[in-house]
Amino acid sequence: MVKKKSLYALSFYFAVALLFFFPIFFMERTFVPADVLDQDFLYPPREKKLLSLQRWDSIMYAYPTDALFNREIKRGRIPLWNPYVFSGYPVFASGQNGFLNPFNIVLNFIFTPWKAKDIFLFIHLILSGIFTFLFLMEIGLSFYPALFGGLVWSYSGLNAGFFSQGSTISVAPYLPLLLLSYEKGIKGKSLMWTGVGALSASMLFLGRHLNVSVFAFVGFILYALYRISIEVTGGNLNLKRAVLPFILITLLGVGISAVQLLPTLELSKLAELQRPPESFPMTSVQGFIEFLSITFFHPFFLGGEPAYEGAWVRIYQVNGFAGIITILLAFFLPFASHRRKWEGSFYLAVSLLFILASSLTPITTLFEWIPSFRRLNPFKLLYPADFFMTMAGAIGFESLIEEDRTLRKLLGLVAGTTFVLIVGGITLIYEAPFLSYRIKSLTNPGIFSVILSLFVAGILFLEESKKIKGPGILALSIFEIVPFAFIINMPVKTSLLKMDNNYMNELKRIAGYERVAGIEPNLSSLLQLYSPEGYESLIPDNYFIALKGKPPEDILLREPKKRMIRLEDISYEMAKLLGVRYIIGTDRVYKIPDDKLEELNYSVKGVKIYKVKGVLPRAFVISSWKKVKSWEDAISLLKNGYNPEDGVLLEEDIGECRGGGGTAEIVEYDLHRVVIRTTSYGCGILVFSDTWYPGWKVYVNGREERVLRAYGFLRSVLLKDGENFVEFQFKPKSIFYGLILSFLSLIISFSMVFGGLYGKGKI
Amino acid sequence: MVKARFKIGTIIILLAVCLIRWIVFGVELNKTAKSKWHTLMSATYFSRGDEERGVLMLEEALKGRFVYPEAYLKYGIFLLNKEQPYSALPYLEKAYLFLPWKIAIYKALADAYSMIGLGEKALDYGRIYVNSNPTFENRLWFAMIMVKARMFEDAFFLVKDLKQEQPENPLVLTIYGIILLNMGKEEDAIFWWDKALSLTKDKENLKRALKSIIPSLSDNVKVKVMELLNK
Repeated sequence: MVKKKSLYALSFYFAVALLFFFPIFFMERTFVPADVLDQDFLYPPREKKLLSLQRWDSIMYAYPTDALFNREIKRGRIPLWNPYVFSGYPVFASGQNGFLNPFNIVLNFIFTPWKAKDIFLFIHLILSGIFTFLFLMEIGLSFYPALFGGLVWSYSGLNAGFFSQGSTISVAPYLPLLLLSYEKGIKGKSLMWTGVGALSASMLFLGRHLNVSVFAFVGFILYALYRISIEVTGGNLNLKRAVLPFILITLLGVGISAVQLLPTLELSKLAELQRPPESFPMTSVQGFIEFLSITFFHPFFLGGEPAYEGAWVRIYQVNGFAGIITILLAFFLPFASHRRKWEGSFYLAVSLLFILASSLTPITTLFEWIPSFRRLNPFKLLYPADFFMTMAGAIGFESLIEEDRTLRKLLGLVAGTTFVLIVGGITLIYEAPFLSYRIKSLTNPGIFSVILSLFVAGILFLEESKKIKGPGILALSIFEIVPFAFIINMPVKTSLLKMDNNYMNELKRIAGYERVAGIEPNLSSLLQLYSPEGYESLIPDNYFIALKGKPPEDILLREPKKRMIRLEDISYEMAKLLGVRYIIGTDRVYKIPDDKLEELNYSVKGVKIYKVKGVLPRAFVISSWKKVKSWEDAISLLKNGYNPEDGVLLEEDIGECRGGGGTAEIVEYDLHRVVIRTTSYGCGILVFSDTWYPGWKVYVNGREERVLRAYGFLRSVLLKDGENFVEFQFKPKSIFYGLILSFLSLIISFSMVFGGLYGKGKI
Repeated sequence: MVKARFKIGTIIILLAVCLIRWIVFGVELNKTAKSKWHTLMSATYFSRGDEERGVLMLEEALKGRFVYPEAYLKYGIFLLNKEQPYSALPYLEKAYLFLPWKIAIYKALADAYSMIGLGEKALDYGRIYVNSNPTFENRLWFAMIMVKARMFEDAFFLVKDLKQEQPENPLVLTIYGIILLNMGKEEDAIFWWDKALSLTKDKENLKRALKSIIPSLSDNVKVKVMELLNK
């Protein structure tokens, strides 16, 4: 019977997702917001309207990285390094790309990057629904409430809102699967389900947003603690069946993800200035009230106006819309007499706890035991808040269709409806000044939420037949929440992804290995041009300071531009050292003076291409050096006008080096391997203007030597007299150790799965 | 049977209401999408130095009922740059209603109110902007807002800190001089202006700025400043 219901549920989620993806599969469209490839000017918007509400991260970050991954996976490898941004960047270590997600790997191997992404999203949308459904059935809910829960979770604000980025939806199926595995492990075949749970936990961490993954896992921890407490209060002194699976899932899940987590931790340590762990500003009482008003009294909480692009992205981060019906159902729980009341109330309480914690209040400090918590974005705690609100809503739904028409039921519905009325009313007043043209419209959430909640409450109280209540409320939920996702994520034509452009093609031809600046950050990954610019959430401190001059002042980094390196940040001295031979300029203000620029004849339509004079080659040999105490000192000297040709600034003592310089020529340049042919007249130091990062090894004529950090942030190596072949290879130890841990944990997890399937059922 | 049909009918009506709502949303969004295109295209033209087309695009973006809110901000800033604060204000205030979290609006509003002489309002908005992003440049900008609002004592302390951070910044020294002048310390003001002139690479602009305040000076100070400018 359960299998039959599961099949129905799967068909249902598949059908809804197919409707959502109809333009993708049948109309040559994509969810990549390609209607604007470039925020500025190189690739201006081509269509006469911009439907995508997602810009920024989806197109500036996710798509270029996906394109890089797609190219490389087709060559049979996972990219660990991206040479096209930040003068070289440990892209694998950023942990935001899902490079080890098996779906991602297989799909990108077969399809184009946008098709792979779209299919990935499709699969995960269905999986998030079905896994949530199975979990809710497992905890005893009936068909319609379970189906409701899966639907709401899949299409709720924080999943639909970041859909084209793919970050939250890549995590969405695995939280309910984790809870399902744990629940099944407690009740029955604990060995197998603990193995499945470990694999689910690892899929959580191997998603596209580590911050969200960590917080989702915290949700699992709270759930496990709740279940353990149930076992204890139920008089079960054998806690092994609840505690042991939890410990094993955690250890093995983290173990399997070690190959990703270790490099990310390494990068995080080298990028502390951007998100320093010490500071964590707590909001004032006024700020907290303002936050609550944005969370609970903003139109978006009730499914309001999504047209303010920047606004709704922020609101999604703040609200996590789960639907008015969900709120109504969840808030009924404290009044329920149903046996699930306490469980549902627990979910509601946890959701509220996460909401309050996300707003930087003293409650936020309750979560400081999470590793590096003070460096994470606390607003993302709304992700598990959304999930638990959905669970509470599903249980409320179950309670309401089971319960008879009683005074308590009436009071509960009145309370929930009153809450929505108050919120709706305040929203109506609050929004009136800037939604005056829609004040009497159904699109005004203050009006719509009131109508919907009154009708829903009426149906739930007055209707006796479960056969009408169940499907009726479900149908209303579909119509309430699913179109939201449709509107937020408008697919655009795949033809917009084409980047043919005469002067860019010409620039690519002439640039070769030379660096180019003035391209929108990360677009260089798509164009395969080497750039010192970029946009990432963690940038190695030494590179950041070298280019920007100081750490970002906004600790919580609300302004994305603070996590960018752009042409405006690059001084002539840095351009010279980094080998930035060409810049693309418009009327923007930039630091490189006009007398250092020579305009080339590729300029067109207000876009000028300049050659920068006096720039050092990407690789050069120099025979003098100076010792500095630290990378900070080296960068400080450069900022104060030190001429890099006067001598390499090194933090280690290399002894005497006498020579007449030399020549260097890049013979081969691959992602993880660079070969440079050098000739040194006496002792020399080869400086290669790619960023220094642990994991880069160097071989001179086949023999391993030390990579010296030059000028505080670049790579160099000592050379002997004569001709030398220098090979830089990227072999980070963090990935090596992570692989060992991951492999061992995987073996154990799979053994548990198969051992549980065919042999002994319990741990 | 009738009762069941009535109940089902109610649900169907409600479903229809939901559907209508989303269709209306979609239509509104579609219209806003056109406004958004025009706004982004205006940014493209402005960045390429084609101001005429940039403005045309902005004006298109502002037509109709469904305006992409950023268009209000961009047009307001454009008018401010053309020194038309009275024209800019309605757009900036509309932008503020739609995008109260966008910090650039506060700077623009502060500039607009400062230009029309409403110092207090300029300070209110300016304070929010500079507190959100207290870079050297922003604090210097806020110091100028304070000076224009004649809050010389408060400005003095701010500029003193800025002077400590960058003791040879000619703009800082110039503002410092203006503040000292208004606090009755004319000789000190001339001293710092002299230093600013010796440090600046853009002497003409600085001289022009100092010339503009000559009418407000006392006679003997006027003479000294004229001597300074004629050096």
